[in-house]
This record gives sequence, C-alpha cells and structure tokens, in this order.
Amino acid sequence: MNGTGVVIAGAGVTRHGFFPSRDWKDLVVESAYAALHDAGVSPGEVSGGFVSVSLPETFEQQNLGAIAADELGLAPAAFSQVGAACAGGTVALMNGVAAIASGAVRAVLVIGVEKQSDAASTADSMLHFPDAEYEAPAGFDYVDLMALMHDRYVRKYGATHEAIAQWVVQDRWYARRNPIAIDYGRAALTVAEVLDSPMVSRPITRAACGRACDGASAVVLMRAGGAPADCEPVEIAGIAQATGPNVLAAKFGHPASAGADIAEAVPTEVAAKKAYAQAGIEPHHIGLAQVHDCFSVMGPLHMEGLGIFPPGKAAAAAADGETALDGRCPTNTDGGRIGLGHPTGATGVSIAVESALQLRGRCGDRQVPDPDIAVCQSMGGSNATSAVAVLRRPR
Amino acid sequence: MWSPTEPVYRIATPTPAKAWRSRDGRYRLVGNRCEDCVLPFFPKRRVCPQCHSRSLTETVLAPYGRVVSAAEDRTPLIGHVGRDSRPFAIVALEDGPCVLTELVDVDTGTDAGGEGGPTTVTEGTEVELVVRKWRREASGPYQYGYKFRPRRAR
Ligand SMILES: [Zn+2]
Repeated sequence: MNGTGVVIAGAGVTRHGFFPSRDWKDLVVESAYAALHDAGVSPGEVSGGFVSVSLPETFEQQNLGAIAADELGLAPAAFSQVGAACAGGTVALMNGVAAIASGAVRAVLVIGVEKQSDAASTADSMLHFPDAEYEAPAGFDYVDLMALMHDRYVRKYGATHEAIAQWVVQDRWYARRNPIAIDYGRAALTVAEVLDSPMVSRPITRAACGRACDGASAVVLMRAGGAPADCEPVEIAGIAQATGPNVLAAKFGHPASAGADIAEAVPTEVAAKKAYAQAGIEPHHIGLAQVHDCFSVMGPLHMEGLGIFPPGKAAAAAADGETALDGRCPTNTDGGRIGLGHPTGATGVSIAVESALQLRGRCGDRQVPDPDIAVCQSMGGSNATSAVAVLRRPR
Repeated sequence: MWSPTEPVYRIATPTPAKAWRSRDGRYRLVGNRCEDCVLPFFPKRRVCPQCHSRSLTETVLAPYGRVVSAAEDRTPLIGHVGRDSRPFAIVALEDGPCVLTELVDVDTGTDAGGEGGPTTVTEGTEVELVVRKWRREASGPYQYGYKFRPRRAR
C-alpha cells in the first residue's frame, strides 16, 4: 500500500498549562481557528469533525461533538465526540482520515481538548481508566500501574533507573525550547534531581510523571491534492490502532500478549506494523518520533514497540543521546508528556501538530535537521490501546 | 439556608449493586476456565480470548502465588490513606492467572532508603490471600477484597 491519500492541511495548538479562567470552549475555538487559518480553509468549507476528550466529567458536559460544532459556528456540520483514554486524539485523527478517504466530506477538523485543572485531583480524575472492579477500588491509579511496569522493565531487561531518568532530562531539554510547553524556559534538569524528587509510587518519582494539564490542539484534514494551493500539507502516510487487555495483571499469559507481559508495549507494536505497511516504510526510515511518555519508563517501552530500538535497549539508547536533537531519531521534540504537558484528550492531536511543524521546518531551536518521516504514537490505559500515525513530508 | 449537612450534588453515582456483583472475585478469587482450551482466567471472562468459546466454568483459584513485580505506593488515593506506604505487586497464582494486589504484613523498608520496592518482598516471594478493606463505595458501604501477605505455613 502507499499512504492514506489524506493530508494535514493546517495545524493549531494552544499553550499547554493551567488556565483557571479559560473554559474548554475557549481552548477549542483557539486551536481550531488557528488550524483553519494555517490551512487557508474558510470555516464554511468544514463539513465534519471529531472532538477527542478523556474527561468530559470535568466539563460537566457530554455530547461535545455537537456542542463544539455549534460553538465554532459550524453547525450543521457532522461532529462527534471520540474517546480512547489518552490515545483518543490519535484515534480521532484516524476517524478523520477515514471520513476524508470515504469521500463523504471535503474538509474535517480533528480537535483534542482537556481541562485537567478543573479536576480536584488529577490522580482521582483518571481513576475511571484502570479496571473498575479490581484495580481502582483496590487503590491503584495509573502511577501505580506504571510503577509495576517500570519495575518489571528494570528486572527483565536490566535497564537502569539512571537511564530511565535521563528520559526526563531530555524531555525538559526540548520543553525549555518549546514556547507552548508547560516547562518552556525552565532550567535544565539533572538525573540526580529526577531520582531525588519525592517518591510517588516507587520507583516512580514526581519528576518522572507526566504533567496532566489543560490544552487543545487541532488539525484540518483534506484529500491530498485537494488542499489550498498556498498551504503546506503534510501527508498522513499511515495510521492504525490496536488494543490489548486493560487489566494489567491479565496481560500475563493473554493470547494477545504473544508471550510478552507488562515490560513491552504490545498494542503499539501491532499498530506500528499496520501503519508502517500502509506507509510503505520500515522502522529504520523514521527520523523523528513522538511517543507516549506519561511516565518516564513508558517512553522507552513505546520506542521498542515502534521497532526503533530492540526490546530492553531503548532507555540506554536514549541515555546515549540517540533520541537527542543530533541523534539518530530525535524523540518527543515538543517536550513529551513530562515537559510539554499532558492534556490527555488533546495529546494525540498535539503530537501530530508537533510532527507536522517539524516536517515543515518551523520549530526554531528545537528543529530537527531535515526530517522526512515522522511517527507519532499515543497510548490509552496501561497499554489497553495504542494508536500510531506515520507523517511524511510531501514528495 | 445553606447547611453543611445539605447533600452535595452528584450524578451517576453507582448503587451498591455494582460492587456487589464482583464479590466472589474480590473475596475468594473466583475466576473461570475455558472448557474448550482449558485456559484459566482472573477476572472471570465471558468469552475465551484464545478460542472464542463462550463455555467457561467458574473455579475458585488457589489462594497462593509468587511475586512477579513489586512497587510501593507512597501517595495513597483518597479512601486508602490508612497506610503511608502501600507495598503492592503482581502475583502469579499457583493456578496460572496473575493478580494485582496490595501486600500487607510486610516490612516496607521505607526508612531504610532501599531501592526497588519493599525490602522483604521481591521477585519470587511466596504470598497468600487475606481479605481486607479496600475503600468505601461512592454510595457509602465499605468494600472488602483480596490482599496478599507473605506465606506462613504450607
Ligand atoms: Zn478457549
């Protein structure tokens, strides 16, 4: 196969952070109109849309597709709400690609939004995503589940805590250089500072946690060749999603795990293979990656799932500089979930925006030299689902 | 007039029936086994993910297992604040399936500055089932369920 035939015609994103005075609708309108402006598409040309959100409870509002469409002045366009935990943004992108590819619509808005600052506690706000019968009521939230994955990764592959902490140092390096990042302009971090920060769930320290926050991002999708002549389209060469068991312990011995357990990102591997086949690429072609590091250890796990590094080797490779700006595959160049911030429903769209801006060469002093093929991946749940998109600079 | 006893507005609060339905799994590790390919499961499944059979038989899993992976929650959630530190683990049960469980009656070694989890529990430690309080349900009742402690007698 060769591509989806769909391009990102325009991209927009808000600052990621904590904005008590801004409603989710403010963030949606800002990002969507930035994307329309970037594409040179007028609002009246948009006939469909998908809105990704993971915690509509904090909005005290559901049915966000219709509400966003009307707020944007786009009713009666066909808009719906998409949910796939923290992978929702990439899944919404996949829905948008399918809508364009079907020929039913000419221009689609894919929007992700979150208002984590409206939740009284971000640990509790995400508590409906672990298993409702045997994980959440027993007192286990995401950081606990990921702490076990971190422990298992270290035991199984001999990765070091220091190498995993280096991932956080790298996220900060990029985030300091990204004006929309929650950590923009902050001081550099050291491995010792990461390891010595307060323990949240051993072995995960506070500094190694993704920063749940507010933010929105949006892209305008159109058929390749159908985008305005003066926009800078980026091709969606491949996009796919896969699932696995949500109950963490049930990954051991599960047929879908194929012998792996919790130290591997199995759905990422499955989705990546499909997306690469659609794009006609191999992992070694990838020169830029955005992966779902909601906690430091998850970055290496997903890099291995994407096939960019062999199992158990990604933490050491990143610590050796292979994912730095001058490395073999610069990764999480927007600062990642830890440095950019993690507006959960928006994240899957935010990473597509960063990839598009990098492929266009618009990222200032965090610009990767001449990237050709970018991959972006987001995870929902503790590897319950993962979605992977391959973006390519127009040839 | 506002009074502190006036009920707080809440929507979609589950009734006690929801947690009641999972009582056999929480108290006794009731799982099930596929009648066609004999794969065992915890929690119980409605369809076998290996052969797609819908013929599954309930089985009480043996209350013993070994630790596969361990960690230590230092920031317990609302409803679990009785302990400053909650060691927990994935335990591979003798009958096959794995469970995620809090560990009790172990020395957490929190003050010893140890690395990689509780000092007296590590990969391979044998543990056994006990029943302890989990948390209060949103509708009020206390919910109990399995936790594990180091195995005492054989
Ligand atoms: Zn079966």
